[in-house]
Amino acid sequence: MGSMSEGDAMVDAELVLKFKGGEESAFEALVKKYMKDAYSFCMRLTHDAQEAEELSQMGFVSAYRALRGFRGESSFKSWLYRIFINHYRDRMRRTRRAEARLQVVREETQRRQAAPVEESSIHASELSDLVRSKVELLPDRQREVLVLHLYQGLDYHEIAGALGCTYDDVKMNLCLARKRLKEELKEHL
Amino acid sequence: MTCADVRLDEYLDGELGDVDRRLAEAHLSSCAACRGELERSRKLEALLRKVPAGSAPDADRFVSQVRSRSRRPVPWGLGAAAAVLVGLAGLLALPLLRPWREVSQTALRAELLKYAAGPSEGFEREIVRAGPAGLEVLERELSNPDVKVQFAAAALLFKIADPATRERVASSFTLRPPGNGGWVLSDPGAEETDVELVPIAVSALETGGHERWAIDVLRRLNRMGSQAQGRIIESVVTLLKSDNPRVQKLALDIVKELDIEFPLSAIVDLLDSPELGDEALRILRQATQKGLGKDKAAWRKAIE
Repeated sequence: MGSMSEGDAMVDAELVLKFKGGEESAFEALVKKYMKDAYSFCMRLTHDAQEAEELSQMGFVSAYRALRGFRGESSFKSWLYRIFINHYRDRMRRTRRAEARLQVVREETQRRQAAPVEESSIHASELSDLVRSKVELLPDRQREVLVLHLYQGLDYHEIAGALGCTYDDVKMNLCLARKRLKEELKEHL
Repeated sequence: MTCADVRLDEYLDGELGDVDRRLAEAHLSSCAACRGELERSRKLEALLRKVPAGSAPDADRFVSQVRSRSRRPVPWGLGAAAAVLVGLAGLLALPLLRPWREVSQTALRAELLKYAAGPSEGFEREIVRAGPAGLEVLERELSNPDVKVQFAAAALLFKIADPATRERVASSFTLRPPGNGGWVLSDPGAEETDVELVPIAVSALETGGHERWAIDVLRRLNRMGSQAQGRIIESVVTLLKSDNPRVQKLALDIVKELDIEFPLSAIVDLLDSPELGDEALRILRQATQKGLGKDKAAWRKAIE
């Protein structure tokens, strides 16, 4: 999605307005515009293709139902991400998969620690797995901020809008996430 | 500028204004330690970006599935509210106890805004005394463009109205037909002012009939962070102090369902309740990992 230009935000605002005026195709245009980013965002959070597709679809369904009442307190993009985050948190809570997911990552990390590999011999995909597992183990808010910033390209204000927190919270959580990852991945930096 | 002043993360992320950016650059040109740290941040970013996200699903199939799922009926009685509201004026055209129809809208809205900021029993009594006409003017405010006024009107209606009116209010928390404006709550917690829903949900709990809906709304609002949580805690403490065991039980349900630290002292007060003492004890033990009995003084000391 990338940090959005004013023009981009205006296009969204126009599409929202058209949808509110009864043009269903305007919503379809918004889905087409944001679906790849929405899916990759959900994938970054869940690491499960089926779950990511379900979450991103349900996020759009909620957005469709709520869009007529969208009050524009934040940009459409921040609002949309907030809906995805809400769905993700609900789902994790309901299925208690968050704990299970963390357990898998913990076990994976313990295995790695038990049998450390030579840095020179670490395969690119193994390094990716290691980095992913370190991101997974970040506290929820730090992980959400990092994913929204790094992979979804939102700026601090947009992230604050998406997560319902302050600009300073975003700054602090991103700083903490980086600090922790730098420490945990220091051998690869 | 010292190393402590330079905001490397914000510099890296392009969040600094021109002046701060230039200051940061000047510092970086003369400080090897900060340059090293910035380099490590860039390497970390490169490493993180290499983690693949997987390929996106087929766009046409995705859009078509969203389209078909969007058209299923929504859970909370899609769109019924507006039609019901049209006929409302006639239903409520009963003799007035007070000249409520003559109350200026501006004055009423000012009162509702005050009520949104902090419920007032005096205002509630005024509306109750006004009878059906009071409810009628409140229902009109459900379409007010100011969401705070809407929320306050809805909260009051839940608290004081008859079951049929409350049903209409609950139904109006759904998608409204195009052009009708107002709020839509198919995903409470998506916008900041949704925090104003807390008193509505709490009122719904108190009056009964919409408990599951209300707890679900509170659960969703709880995601919004500390502002919503503060409002929820405040309301739950009030409910715990109610003299109605049904309401107290619902408050305990919220304590159990929501991941919030509620003031345990309010739960200690329930220990000698015949209906809820056991439940309160379970919650206290779980929250504190202490194995005390139902001795309120001992618990108060333990949680001080």
